[in-house]
Amino acid sequence: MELIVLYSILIFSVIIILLYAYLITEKLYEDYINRKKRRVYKDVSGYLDDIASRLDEYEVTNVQLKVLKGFIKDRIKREIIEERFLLYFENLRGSISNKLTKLAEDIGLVDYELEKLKSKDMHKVALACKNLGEIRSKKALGSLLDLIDIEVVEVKYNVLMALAKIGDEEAFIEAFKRLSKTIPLSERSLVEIADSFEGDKIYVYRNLMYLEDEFISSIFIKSAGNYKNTLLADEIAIFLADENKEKKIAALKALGNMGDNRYVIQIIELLNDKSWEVRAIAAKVLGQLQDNRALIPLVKALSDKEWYVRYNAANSLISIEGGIELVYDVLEGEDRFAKDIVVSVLETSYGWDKVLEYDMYSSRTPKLSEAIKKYIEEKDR
Amino acid sequence: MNTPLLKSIVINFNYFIIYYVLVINFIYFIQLILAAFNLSDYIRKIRYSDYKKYMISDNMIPISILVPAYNEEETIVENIKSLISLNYPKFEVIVINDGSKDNTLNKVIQEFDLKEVNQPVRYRLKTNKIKGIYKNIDIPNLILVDKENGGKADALNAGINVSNYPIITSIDADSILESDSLVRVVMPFIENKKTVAVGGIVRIANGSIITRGRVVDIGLPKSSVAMFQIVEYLRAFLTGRVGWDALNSLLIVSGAFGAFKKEAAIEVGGYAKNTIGEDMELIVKMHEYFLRNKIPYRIKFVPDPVCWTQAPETLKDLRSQRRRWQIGLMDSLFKHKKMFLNPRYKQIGLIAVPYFWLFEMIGPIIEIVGYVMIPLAYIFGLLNLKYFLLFFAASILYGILLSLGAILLEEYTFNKYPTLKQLIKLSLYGILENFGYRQLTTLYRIEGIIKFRKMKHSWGKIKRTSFQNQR
Repeated sequence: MELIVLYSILIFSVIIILLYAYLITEKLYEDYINRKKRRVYKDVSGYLDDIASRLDEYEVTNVQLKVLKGFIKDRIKREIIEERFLLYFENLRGSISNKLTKLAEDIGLVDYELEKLKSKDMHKVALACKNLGEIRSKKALGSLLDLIDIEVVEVKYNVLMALAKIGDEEAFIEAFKRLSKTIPLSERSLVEIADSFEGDKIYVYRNLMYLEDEFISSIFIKSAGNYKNTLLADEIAIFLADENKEKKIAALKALGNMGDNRYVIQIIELLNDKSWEVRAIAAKVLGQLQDNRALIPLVKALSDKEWYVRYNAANSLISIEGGIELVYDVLEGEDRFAKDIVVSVLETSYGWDKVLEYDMYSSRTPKLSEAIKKYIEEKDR
Repeated sequence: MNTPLLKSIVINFNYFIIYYVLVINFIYFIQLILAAFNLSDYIRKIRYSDYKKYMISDNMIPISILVPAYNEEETIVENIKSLISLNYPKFEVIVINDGSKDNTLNKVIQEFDLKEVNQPVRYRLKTNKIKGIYKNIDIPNLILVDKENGGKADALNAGINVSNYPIITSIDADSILESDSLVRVVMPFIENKKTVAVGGIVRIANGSIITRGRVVDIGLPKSSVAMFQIVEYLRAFLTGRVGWDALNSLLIVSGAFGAFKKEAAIEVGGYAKNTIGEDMELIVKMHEYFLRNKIPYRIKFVPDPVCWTQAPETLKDLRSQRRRWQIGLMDSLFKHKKMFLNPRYKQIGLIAVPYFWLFEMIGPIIEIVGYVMIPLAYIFGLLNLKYFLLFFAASILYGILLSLGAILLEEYTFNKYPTLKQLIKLSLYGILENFGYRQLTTLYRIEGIIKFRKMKHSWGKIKRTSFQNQR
């Protein structure tokens, strides 16, 4: 017994001492590397910065390439080169970015990152995917696509984001066709990836919006809406009549984002959809479209049995020009839920100050503020 | 009873205690090692995380921050100011005044020029009556809810009913978030759609300089009680939570800072009202519900979204806090006793819940009995000096090693206390806490066990001071 206790104390102490030793060694090593890095940083980064700043005017000479290739062979210098490249790509766009990609390929930086993709360490792979995306080298497409089936969320995300940044349409489409709705990534992260695509977005949307997989299809319909290109509006509007609820909602959101009111009649019809989520989004989108044809249907939607539909309808109603006039009709009506929601939205979203301002310029009696107060008093009684 | 039998009982019981101490410390060490690997993983993951991209993205999930407040007039205004200036694309702050008896309500109304509005509420979770909702159209992301007193859980449920966004986070009214904490705590929801809850790390603000709701200089407090708690929090979060997270068996997401998928919280009935450990109870309920219904889910702990909180500096407040924690823990474990060693609940039922029963709940009793029995047995000549010293040295040394391990993890990872002086002070308190402080908190937990039936429904407040008055 005593021995067990003594040994356990001894083992635990050794572990802690080892941890301390590891920590100190690592800190010392880090310090040593940083000092070494500082010594060469100016020379390496200065040399590269000089070349990068003249890329638009001059070709990189063989001598310069040879020197840069030499840097890549040294771990510390390679880290500096990598840092600088990532910084350039973060801040530079256009033709200089393409030239930088070519330079990264020529000096072997891309090959070095590609080599890291073979690692069994998934953190290393994910980081290499991210870096390859930043460098935007098409040379990486094949290797990135090979990784798409890996069941590690971090790798999958970074592969898709890298493909988005590289901007090759066919590779991007293929990657998404190989995904299924069992993908653990959230819808928002996939929309972010779709939004980040740097190639021909319209071509990609046209290919991926029509996929049978409603999850992926909805993502691209939504992303198309974020892109706000009216060329896609007709195609998006087709999904308003789709049987699938997700696609319908995605199309509604997309058209709302685009602010294209050519489809307002179809959207108004969706205020009667059997799904309350569709009705709620339709009510919200009508506010974004600012079309006064929606006013009367929105007043009707204030009596919907679902709170969210009523809430969105009320918000949209008062945001459309002329909508506030209809508040009188609502207050004179019988539906208490409709009255409650419209009064709430007037106070919370529209603002009491604006109600008073409206009264100042309106000749209608009683004043809207008085009508609201009267209703609240009656309700409180 | 004859003497040999009594002697045999005492000796066997003492052996049981020694084995118990060995097992519990072995588990702690396993946790420490798991935590070290898990933290190392996390640190590497940060290097390729896209969280900065999401800080300005429209695709970031909007979030509702719930701030339950009961007699928080000292800190509530600063806290709200700090929250509404957070760096996050789209969020709302919902302050729920749970029938405070002090000036909390008026202070908030006056400071933010709020007006009562007629906002209907969808009671998806049953709560006490909401007396009024206040807003200022110029601060659209601030909502004040005034309700009848019903306890913290009831206040949080009212906040959920009023909230507009799919993720809710609960933050104590006496806490401060770092500017990018929200983004970091929401990232697991972005990365994995199965995520239903995420906990962040809670650190102690005593001793740090806070200006306009921001921690501008991290320091260590002068108060010994607060210092001990800094070491304790490091051990609880960087070893305990991170270790449990590595086993996918997290049972607690701190009430001071946690984020939840709203629909998941509503699905399990929201925060439980008849308990004071509502934070643990919600997480255990989620495990129970999702495992029972075989729904894939994920509960994560992320160690760098920091929430700064005030630790009690008096023994009276510390006693009240620890008593409350113990009661909350026991209440939750009793409520879900069917999970104990139940294979249906996988690693939660087979590892986490039994651990909490055997070591966290019963632990204080065995520890105190050990402290009494072993010296007594020695005094009455039933134990030899070697055994007595062994027990004493083992329990103290294990404690010291675990605390030093947690401090090491902190230095290795986030290094919030970077100077040598701070490291030495932390290490010193890591040693000193084993000589009195630890035993004292064990006694407070025993009191919690004794008063369990009587106090399991109370709010349990500690005295707060304004953050501005601190260093």
